[in-house]
Amino acid sequence: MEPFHAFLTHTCGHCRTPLLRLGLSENNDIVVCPVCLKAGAFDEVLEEGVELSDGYDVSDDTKRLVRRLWAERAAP
Amino acid sequence: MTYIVKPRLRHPALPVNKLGFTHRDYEGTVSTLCAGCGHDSISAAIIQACFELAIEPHRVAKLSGIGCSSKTPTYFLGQSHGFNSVHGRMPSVLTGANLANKDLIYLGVSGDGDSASIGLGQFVHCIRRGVNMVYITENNGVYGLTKGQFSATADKGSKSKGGASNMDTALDLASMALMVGASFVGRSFSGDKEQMVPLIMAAMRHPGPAFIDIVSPCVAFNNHAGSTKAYDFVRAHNEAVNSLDIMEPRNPITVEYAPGTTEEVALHDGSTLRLAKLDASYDPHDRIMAMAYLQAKAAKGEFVTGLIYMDRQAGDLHANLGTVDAPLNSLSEKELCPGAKALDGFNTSHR
Ligand SMILES: Cc1ncc(C[n+]2csc(CCOP(=O)(O)OP(=O)(O)O)c2C)c(N)n1
Ligand code: SF4
Ligand SMILES: [Mg+2]
Ligand SMILES: [Zn+2]
Repeated sequence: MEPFHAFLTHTCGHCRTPLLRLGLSENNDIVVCPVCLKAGAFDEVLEEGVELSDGYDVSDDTKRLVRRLWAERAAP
Repeated sequence: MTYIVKPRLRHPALPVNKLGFTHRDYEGTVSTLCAGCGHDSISAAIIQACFELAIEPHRVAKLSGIGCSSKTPTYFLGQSHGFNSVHGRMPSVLTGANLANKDLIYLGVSGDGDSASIGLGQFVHCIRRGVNMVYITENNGVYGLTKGQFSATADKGSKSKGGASNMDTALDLASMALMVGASFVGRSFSGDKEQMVPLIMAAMRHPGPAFIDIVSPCVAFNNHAGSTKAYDFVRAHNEAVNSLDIMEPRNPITVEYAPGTTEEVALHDGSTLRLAKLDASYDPHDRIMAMAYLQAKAAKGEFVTGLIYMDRQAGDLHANLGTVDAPLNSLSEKELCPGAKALDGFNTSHR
């Protein structure tokens, strides 16, 4: 599988930042808000309208990856 | 499919078309695709084309297969009919719907995987049967939804994001559509809205099988150096043969072209398609020339876009089958089952 990280057109319902989609394994994509770090399962959030939550299990490594990708994107 | 609905606020100064609809009336829900995905630009072009044609949304049926591209009908024409079918099977579902009700405008939206890989048989048969439709492939050379495997339209030698080379020969859907009898063939690029919108408008007014192949980069898996479906590559190799303009009967002609450089084609609803020729030798009504031209340019690494072919005498499946004028789904039981005597007569006529 290719590494898969992509910002979406869709924005965070809390802070309006473009959401980040992360492919962590073959069938397990999550979406994370790069600013408030709320997260959820890709399909549940985008197809079923489940809210992003603080309690969604995101590892510290993943959080670091999210911060780095957001900083790279925000850089000129 | 997707849950997130756009808020319905309408600014009083928003432009409206002759039906009084705004752009918003042709939109769908918020896209869940990656930011920058070419498919979202194609959705925007479809919205613009339907707005400009002032199509009544309930007269359109959108059909698709499976893929990121096939998800896009959720993001446009939210008030139209829609059916998201199975992978590679959109053409037969569309054919069935068209046979049942020929009064709708059929818009098939598919991907290169959906149409050139799993659905290739469906793609060619739907076109060779002459189904009256607009069939658009959003072509990125990969299976975007399943994370970037090469599709059958990936060029030989093009590189995946991970560096692997594609060793299989590419299928060119526009050439295949010409070969199997499409009476309208266009090619475009998702980064060129000015070209896409009139092409889609002309295809929607074409009374036969209209096919448009639109290269639509996948920013997540196929937009790197070494890919022939990346934004930079397509911009550098795009060779438009003509530029199009749709003129409504009521609109005066405002742009002047040098004699011999334009051609006007009457469309069957009274409007006119004006083609500005960018390559003076190119005749978009000559199917054999069109096929040879695509191949010759491809051999030089050029990617031809524009109106590739248009048959001015196009017919469709219903004309071939000799169906009655009324849509079949409007017939009553009495008309559909005219009784034993009529059936006997019909059987006798086939003996
Ligand atoms: C019968 C079947 N086989 C395989 C799949 C897995 N699958 C889903 S989408 C897809 C490819 C889609 O590629 P394409 O049509 O190019 O769409 P894109 O995502 O690139 O827009 C595949 C192989 C499936 N859904 N159904
Ligand atoms: S994976 Fe590729 S094709 Fe799918 S939405 Fe993202 S950019 Fe578009
Ligand atoms: Mg694809
Ligand atoms: Zn947020």
